[in-house]
Amino acid sequence: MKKCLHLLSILAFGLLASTGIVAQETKITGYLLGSGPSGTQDVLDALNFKLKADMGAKLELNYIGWNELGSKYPLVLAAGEDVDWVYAASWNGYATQAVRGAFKELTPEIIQKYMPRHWKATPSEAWDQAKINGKIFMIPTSTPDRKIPLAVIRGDLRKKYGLAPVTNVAGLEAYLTAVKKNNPAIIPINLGSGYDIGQPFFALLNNEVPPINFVFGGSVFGNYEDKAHSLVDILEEPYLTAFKKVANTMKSWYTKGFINKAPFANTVLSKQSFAQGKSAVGFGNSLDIQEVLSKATASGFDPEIIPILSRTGHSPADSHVGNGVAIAANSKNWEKTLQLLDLIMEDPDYVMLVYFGIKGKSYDLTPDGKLTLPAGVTPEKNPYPQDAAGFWFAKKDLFPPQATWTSGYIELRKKLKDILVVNTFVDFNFNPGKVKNELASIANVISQYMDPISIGAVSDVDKAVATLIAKLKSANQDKVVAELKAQLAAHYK
Amino acid sequence: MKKSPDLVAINLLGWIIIGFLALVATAPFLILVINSLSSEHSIINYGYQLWPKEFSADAYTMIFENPQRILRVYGITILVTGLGTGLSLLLSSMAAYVVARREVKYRNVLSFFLYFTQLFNGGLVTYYLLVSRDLHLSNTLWVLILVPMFSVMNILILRNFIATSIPESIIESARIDGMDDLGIFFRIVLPLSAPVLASIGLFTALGYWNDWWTPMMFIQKRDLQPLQYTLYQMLASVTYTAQMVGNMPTVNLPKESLKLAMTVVATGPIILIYPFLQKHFVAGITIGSVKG
Amino acid sequence: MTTKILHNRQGFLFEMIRNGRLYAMFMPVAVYFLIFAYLPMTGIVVAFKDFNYQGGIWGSPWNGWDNFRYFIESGKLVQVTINTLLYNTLFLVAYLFFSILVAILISEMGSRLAKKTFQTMLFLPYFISWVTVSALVYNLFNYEYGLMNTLVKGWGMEAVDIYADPNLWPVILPFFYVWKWVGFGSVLFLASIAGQDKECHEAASIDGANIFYRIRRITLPQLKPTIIILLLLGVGRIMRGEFDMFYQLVGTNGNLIDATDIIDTLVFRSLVSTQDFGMSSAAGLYQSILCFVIILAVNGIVRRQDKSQALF
Repeated sequence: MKKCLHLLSILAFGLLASTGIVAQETKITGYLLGSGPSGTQDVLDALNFKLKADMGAKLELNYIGWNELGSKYPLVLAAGEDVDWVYAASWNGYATQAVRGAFKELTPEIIQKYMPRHWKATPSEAWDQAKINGKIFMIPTSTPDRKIPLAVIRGDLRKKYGLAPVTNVAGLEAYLTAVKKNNPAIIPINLGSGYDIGQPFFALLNNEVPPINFVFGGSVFGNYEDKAHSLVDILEEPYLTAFKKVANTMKSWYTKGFINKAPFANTVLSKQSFAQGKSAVGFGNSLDIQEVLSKATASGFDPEIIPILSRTGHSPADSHVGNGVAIAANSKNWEKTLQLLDLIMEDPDYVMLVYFGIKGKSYDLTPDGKLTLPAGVTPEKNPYPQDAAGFWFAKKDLFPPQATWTSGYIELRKKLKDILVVNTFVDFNFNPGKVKNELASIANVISQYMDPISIGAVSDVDKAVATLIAKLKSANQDKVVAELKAQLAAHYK
Repeated sequence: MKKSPDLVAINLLGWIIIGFLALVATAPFLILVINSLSSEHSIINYGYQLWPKEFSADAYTMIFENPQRILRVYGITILVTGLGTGLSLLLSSMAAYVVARREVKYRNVLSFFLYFTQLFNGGLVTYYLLVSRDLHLSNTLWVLILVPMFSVMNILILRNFIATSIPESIIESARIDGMDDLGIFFRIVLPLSAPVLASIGLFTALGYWNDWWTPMMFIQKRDLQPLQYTLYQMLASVTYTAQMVGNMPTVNLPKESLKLAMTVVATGPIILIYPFLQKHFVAGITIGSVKG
Repeated sequence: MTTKILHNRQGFLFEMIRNGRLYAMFMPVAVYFLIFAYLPMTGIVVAFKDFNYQGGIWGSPWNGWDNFRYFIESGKLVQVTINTLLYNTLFLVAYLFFSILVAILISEMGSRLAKKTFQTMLFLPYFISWVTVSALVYNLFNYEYGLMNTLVKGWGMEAVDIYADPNLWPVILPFFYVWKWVGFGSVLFLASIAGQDKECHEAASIDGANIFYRIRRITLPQLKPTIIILLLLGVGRIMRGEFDMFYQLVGTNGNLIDATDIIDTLVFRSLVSTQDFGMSSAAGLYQSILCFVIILAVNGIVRRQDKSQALF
């Protein structure tokens, strides 16, 4: 009997202890985009070990896959259960979701109280950028990406054919001709579907029009260096002539076989085929090209970088809301969630852990403090490659330089501060609610009538452009532009 | 025994036509298997080859690098497929039997009740909210079993088969012998339906095996993810979203050879069960043997 | 009172009492469909709502037909509807034809090993997802280094760019559809042939009827119920497409859009960056209603021919 009681008390004590532990640790559920690399669980375990000690919280991490973005992202928010924070960004419908009430409203006081480090690290304009109708629904990153779009070409081939260095995509003609003539196995530009499609076209168009940046997806762009926030319709004179000229250049490139015939069905991106030596030009941005550069250098291609800039020599800097986190409207533990995010976004140890993984397993530091891979780990076998886990809102100023950076790349990074300028539209969030039908039609028109022009796959440029203009008109682009102007006027009054 | 000329003719025709179709069906799969053993460099540079220029088993070593994980993934898939197929087949054929019986007055109403769900659905939001918020099925094995469980098409095919190929007289005589509905179903209808049960069973099993939608929507826990979802994530990450990728710092795209190898890994086991099921719907059954 | 109901042989209660066991056997499936299909069907209202997260499905404000506007104003509604209808009809006919052909030929084969091997081979395409097929097709047919064009050029002929020729796709797409599904479809017909009475065949054979005659007069007529049910089931989906197939094989290719655009691809292109529940529900409802009308018509025709073959 006594023994029995003893056993019972042990059991009861055990139960109490276990519930006690559960009560101590607040479970916080977050959603990121993509899919975690193989080492995610190990990193999460290490993270939770630290979190338990530092703030008595446990993070549960879920991923929304890339092509579930359109469906699952809003669904998770609609269900509203089991979600405390979610990755948010201007390009991922932040404004739309915020207007529909998906996120919790945050105030400067709340941020100051629960995220003191982040509040200190983030400039005030970041919070202005996050404002929707005057309210903040997102915690923007303290360090926006510093990247520009670019093209890479093969320096070894350029030198072999005795061509002068190329500084602008418009100057590629001689290089493309030489490559095409001498290397039947290489497709000069092998575009993939998606990202690649408009790249060469807009790189060429940039030389002809004011500095333009995407506003809503039709033919109307914002002049990002104009303090008066003027709009540019590239299908209206004086720019229409330039548009047609570029379209003709693309058509001639396409006809001459400089560009692959069917980019829309090609799943291999231009930079991938460049890295493998299949093509001679790759497109990307100054961050995602690192891997390609080191691969190409190793293969002896001597990659050369051609920045894609507007004719002023600039590129719009990313905004703070290009990466961020939002708190789900119904989160019960939002205070703890904010505290947790403060650590993940700003604390050096946490940032290194979530962004680069566990030291010795997925990264190491050289004696001079550069980032490198641990001995025996190849880029392919890295269980937790940088960027892959999706914590893109962490403070990037804390990242060490990397050992694999090529000299050309380091040079480019130095130049970035002169190239990147503030996008004057950066604090403007277009609310598409009133014109969502028109936007849907425009998206449709662009993919059917603009994309073929942009790769040069049209038989008659004038006719194709005329069709595009007519279709955009019947898709009511004018109405969207009017709405855009009204919202701009209201915002910048 | 010498075959008559017409039998020789149809066999010849069969070999030619089926042989051609089988070749067209198999060649891509073989290309896939062969190229999954090819190096990444070879695939991107020369495209898919009939014989790789550079062999490499890298893709497979990557997949099996973490054998525990891949075993677990297989385990989940096999468990769900087995359990789901059994349950679904039993309940589907039971329902099909009911709507096939002439004396059931509302059988057409019931058929319509099923068929109507094929035509109309309330869209994704309601379904998602129901399953995850109201039924709390997210992150359970049950969601993997329940969501793909019944197909109206399968039930109606079963109904059709039972109604047309099981003679009314057998059921009548069993009834006179004092057998009740459940008995008739288990002892007469099920054995007589072996060919169609085997084929519907195959469809159901394939449905479970190939289901990536349910885990995509309702499973977040890594240790509950089945095989096809792992494959799906790998294949899909490249295509749909490429439009937005411009905004990302870097997205590590899976290698071409890895995608091929994963397809092979995800397909292999289920193909092996095919010959076992197959004898049921090719051999046929003789009604007399069951009656006696 | 009870006796009155019992004596009323047409009554609902009488039927329930008489066949109660049978109805009980239907219950599990009925409950499943009530929960997983009919309950969420109420969500059709989303098509008429301006969805927001706080209001959810029921609390969000109504917005009439606004969610349908993009669809109608795209100016492509008629074209994509016709495309969808034509492609799916083509798919259905080709699928049925080849499935029956394969099933009959296989069932007449003498060697069991051959039967098994061929069937397994025909099933392989089912496992290759459209993404992989698309990479395969691109590798076979692309203009620059595709296997086919390498051969064509080797013979001194002009290379073909299939991604620029809209006329080829009404052949290519049904080809791949059949390629992917014929193994699947033939299984059903094989099962159906296996269930047929062998005596009829033997009797006819003794009477001197050759195999082709017997297939036409005995096997095929007995397959009719299976053909009709598959036809009816196929018609019920005739406004929905193999989205993945179109999207992956064709891509968003401006030059091919007019020839290959179906309702699902149009909706996908329009909404890819919108994340709007209402607008996608609206498109779904449009497809449902069209399917409903068509199936009522087809089922009606079948019903007039042979009542027992009709779906409902």
